[in-house]
Amino acid sequence: MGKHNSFDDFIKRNREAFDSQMPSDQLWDRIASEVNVSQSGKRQLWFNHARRYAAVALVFLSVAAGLHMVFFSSVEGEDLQASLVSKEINDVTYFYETEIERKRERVMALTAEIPAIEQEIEMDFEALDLALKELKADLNDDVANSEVLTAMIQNYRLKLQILEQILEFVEPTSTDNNTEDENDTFSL
Amino acid sequence: MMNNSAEAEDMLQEVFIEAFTRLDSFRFESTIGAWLKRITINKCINELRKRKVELDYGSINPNVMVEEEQEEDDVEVALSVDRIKHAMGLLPDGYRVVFSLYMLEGYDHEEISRILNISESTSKTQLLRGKKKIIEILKAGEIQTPGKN
Repeated sequence: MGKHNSFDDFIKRNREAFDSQMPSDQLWDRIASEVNVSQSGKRQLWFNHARRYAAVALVFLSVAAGLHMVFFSSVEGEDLQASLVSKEINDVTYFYETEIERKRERVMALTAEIPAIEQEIEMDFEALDLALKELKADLNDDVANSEVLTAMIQNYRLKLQILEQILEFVEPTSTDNNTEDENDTFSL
Repeated sequence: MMNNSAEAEDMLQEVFIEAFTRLDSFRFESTIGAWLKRITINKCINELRKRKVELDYGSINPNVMVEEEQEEDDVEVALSVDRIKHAMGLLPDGYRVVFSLYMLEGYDHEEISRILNISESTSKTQLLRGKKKIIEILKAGEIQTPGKN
């Protein structure tokens, strides 16, 4: 056994030395550029998925909100709850709509010569706006509850994500800008 | 496994691009590293097959396997990583793939049989033959280690 095992043992003992070859730096550049191209194609798919998920989520949450209203709403304390929810909704709406407006203006400024991007945003936002309108109608009908608010936040965040993904590609690469965007993304 | 640095880089490039584009399909059933390793191995094997490389996995007589194993035990040869790597480069692709998967990547014969769609006994025999061939090459001094010979 000795000699044969020593061959196996030698390889086991020196396993890491067999991985001495490293890929060239150019390889990572090629991968990065290829992945960027793939992602821009994938983004369109993501938009489609996002729209579909948003629609499904909206239907589910609208039904849930309706059921909640029918079976669990209570007259007692309704005014106080409505007041608290109303403030929360106002805060959320103000925060997200300001952010969305700010980023949308940034996108428009950077893509003024590419009207197709604005058209694409219009299309993506159309479905989301419709969903948001229905959610707000639920709120106006005093159906305000955490599920509806969560659905509204998801709706706003989808819009922000769409704008952020576009900005990722069209914004001039600067460390400050990138850092700001990353912070924006994670603070939402 | 590819036995060529440029081709290995091409494979690596394809693996990472595929991994990024298929990240959604990662189900956390294994580590990311194991997932990448599996994609890499599948890609390399597919590429070898695409090039119509004959991965010589003939049917094996178990008795022959035992004889080969016993024969391996009597080998005596000076070992170094560089010399073994060069000897691996001289192996037929079928031997080299099984040898790499078992000796370097840590797969067992059951896993190799599934990856390569061969029987476990074929995997064992390919490994033994690969080892035997490497040792023969080392003994015969048929390799040229860069910077050393």
